[in-house]
Amino acid sequence: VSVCSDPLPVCSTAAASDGQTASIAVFGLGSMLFHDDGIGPECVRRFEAGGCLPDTVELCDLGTPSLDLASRLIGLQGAIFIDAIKLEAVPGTVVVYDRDEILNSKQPAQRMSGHEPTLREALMTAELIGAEIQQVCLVGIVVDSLERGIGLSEPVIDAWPNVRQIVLDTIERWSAP
Amino acid sequence: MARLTIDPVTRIEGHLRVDVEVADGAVQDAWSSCTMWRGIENILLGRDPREAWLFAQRFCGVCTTVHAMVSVRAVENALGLAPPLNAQLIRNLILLNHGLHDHIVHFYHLSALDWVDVTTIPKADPDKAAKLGETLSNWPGNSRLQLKEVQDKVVRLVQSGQLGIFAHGYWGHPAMHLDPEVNLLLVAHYFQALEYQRKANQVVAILGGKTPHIQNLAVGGVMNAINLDSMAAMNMDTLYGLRSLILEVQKFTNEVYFPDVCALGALYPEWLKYGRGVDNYLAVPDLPLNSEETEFDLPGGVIQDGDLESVRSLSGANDKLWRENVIEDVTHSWYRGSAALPPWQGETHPHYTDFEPDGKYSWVKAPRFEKRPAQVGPLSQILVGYAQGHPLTKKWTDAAFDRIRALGVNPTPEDLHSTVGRHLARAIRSAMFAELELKHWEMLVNNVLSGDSTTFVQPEFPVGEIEGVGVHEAPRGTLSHWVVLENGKIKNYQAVVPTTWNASPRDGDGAIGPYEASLIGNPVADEEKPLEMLRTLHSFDPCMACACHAYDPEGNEVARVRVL
Repeated sequence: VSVCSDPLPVCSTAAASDGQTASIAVFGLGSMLFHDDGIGPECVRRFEAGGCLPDTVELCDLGTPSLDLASRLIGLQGAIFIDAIKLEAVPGTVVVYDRDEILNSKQPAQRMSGHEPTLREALMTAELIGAEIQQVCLVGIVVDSLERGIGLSEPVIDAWPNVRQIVLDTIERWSAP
Repeated sequence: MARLTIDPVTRIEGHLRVDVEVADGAVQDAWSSCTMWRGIENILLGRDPREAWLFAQRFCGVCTTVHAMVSVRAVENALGLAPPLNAQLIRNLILLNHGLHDHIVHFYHLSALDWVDVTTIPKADPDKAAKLGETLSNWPGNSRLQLKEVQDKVVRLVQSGQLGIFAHGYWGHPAMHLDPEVNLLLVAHYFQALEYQRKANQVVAILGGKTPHIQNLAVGGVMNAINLDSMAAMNMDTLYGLRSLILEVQKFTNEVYFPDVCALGALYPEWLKYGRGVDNYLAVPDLPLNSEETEFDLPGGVIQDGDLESVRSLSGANDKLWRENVIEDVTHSWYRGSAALPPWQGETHPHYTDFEPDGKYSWVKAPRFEKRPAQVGPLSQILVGYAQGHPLTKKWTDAAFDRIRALGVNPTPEDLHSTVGRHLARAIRSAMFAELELKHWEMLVNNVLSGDSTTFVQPEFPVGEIEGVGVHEAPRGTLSHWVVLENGKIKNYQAVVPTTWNASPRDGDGAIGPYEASLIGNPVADEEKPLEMLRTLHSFDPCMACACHAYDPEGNEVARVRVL
């Protein structure tokens, strides 16, 4: 893991609202009031504090959004979602889903993440309204506890270097000519 | 008699379950149940009240702004602290735009498809649809070319066999009877609405620093720096940037949303007769016009038994009529005991029994005003305003009636107590908001130009115990946070949210809640496809996330209907 000292952009929602939308965005999803569900927003905070994201990348903690997500995708070429997932696996395991896997999930009763129906619908809606988003991925972190309360469990927070590397690699891959 | 269960009811945050008994093609009895508990306020106990809003705005993923706002108001109310005028106006602009965003999304994306059959669109004549659009308004998005483009998109979807976001509708249902051209026009607006709700949200983001989860609030005001000579602070550039967004949202509201809902009312006149339910109404005043919160642009009040003549005004969070008459009953809720307590003394001790129609059956408590159930939401606000002769409410209500009359239906204020009435009230409220946000923008600019750049006063917390209540007339209705502070720390915190009022179960006296009451008498043409019930439930704009304080990552994705 490389160490960087560059100042990092904070959430650029206001800049994006002036029409200067970044072409790639990193979005954290989840509720920080339910322990490990807050891992998405926590990763956003860590990127803000020194995660070495290129300053053209939009970074935002979206909490647990609903259909609003679709209009967030307008003007983007790529979006990386970081979210808690529930899976029969060791807590802290990181699983990456690509656009097709998100769209073609055949198990409606078992979401890939707590906010997935919105993600899937948002992608379909964005496509329908002509958003030209090319690249999408969901970086899921397997949770331990989703009970009410603040703070992440250790194996989940330990996933951060892994998440960070996956996000940086993905951005580099998407940005390659 | 058939027993139907719909679980969940909403496309978002699905934790609402509704059971009904159907006989002779109509609903005879109903139970509204929230299926998850989370007791989220407990997170705030012992915390510094100045940071409570940062946590409170995470109660919900959709209405983050309103919980943030009402939380600072609750603490300010306990302290008797009056935020500066600039702070009030900046907050008002945020609330107005959040409200418009929410109402536009609710109508087009969360409920219009209960009325609009997407699958008829391939049969529509785009020329005819464009001409129809011209009769409604001058909206440039109703051109033949644009409508044809939307039709082509829908045709491609239908031909692909995968309806995507439209996969879950009750297409071809006998209760859907709009012409294909009307359906095409409304689906075109469904797509355009995505863009305009975003513009309203941009105003929230610019003033709030970010959305969701605005960052600019403080107990005592807002943290926006105003300096007309600085590029880094709020200056005339920022203010005029906001104004152009405000004008765009106003145009969409006046030329698309408002006319569409009026047309829907005229084309489904039978739905001005269904869905009345509990006709006791409650709304709190909002959009303060001064620092002390003694004058407001939205009137509050109480109406009992649907009698508009009986309206009593509410003057604000300090009105005794408000402060002394809210209780929460848990006789039929999954909490210990059956006590009906005022929120400041509120307790949250879970006691789950299973779904027992005659016993406990919901995680939602039963809030009562003057010991009676009350309906909250835009309809309540419009009715208490109309009944008190509030000029702006009257102006836009009459404008809605004129539009409906022009389409051959003759509505009366009595028709507002209905399923479509709730949609109309939301559109009337939006037209009022679109007008008011320009007014509040001008007030802010004039106040700043007069040399006032204050946005914050320092709060001071006394030793000992104090209590306060913050109120806000949120998109779904009256929202209140009740706080008890002891030596500057939170001792008790209770949120009584709009959906708790509306989704309330029965109380100790057996009185049923607004959702339950509104379903009785609803027609059900096809028990396998209870579209009519969804129409009435969706007209309340249900959102259970904060009402029952729930989160269920394993929840089901689509509405599941079981016929028992």
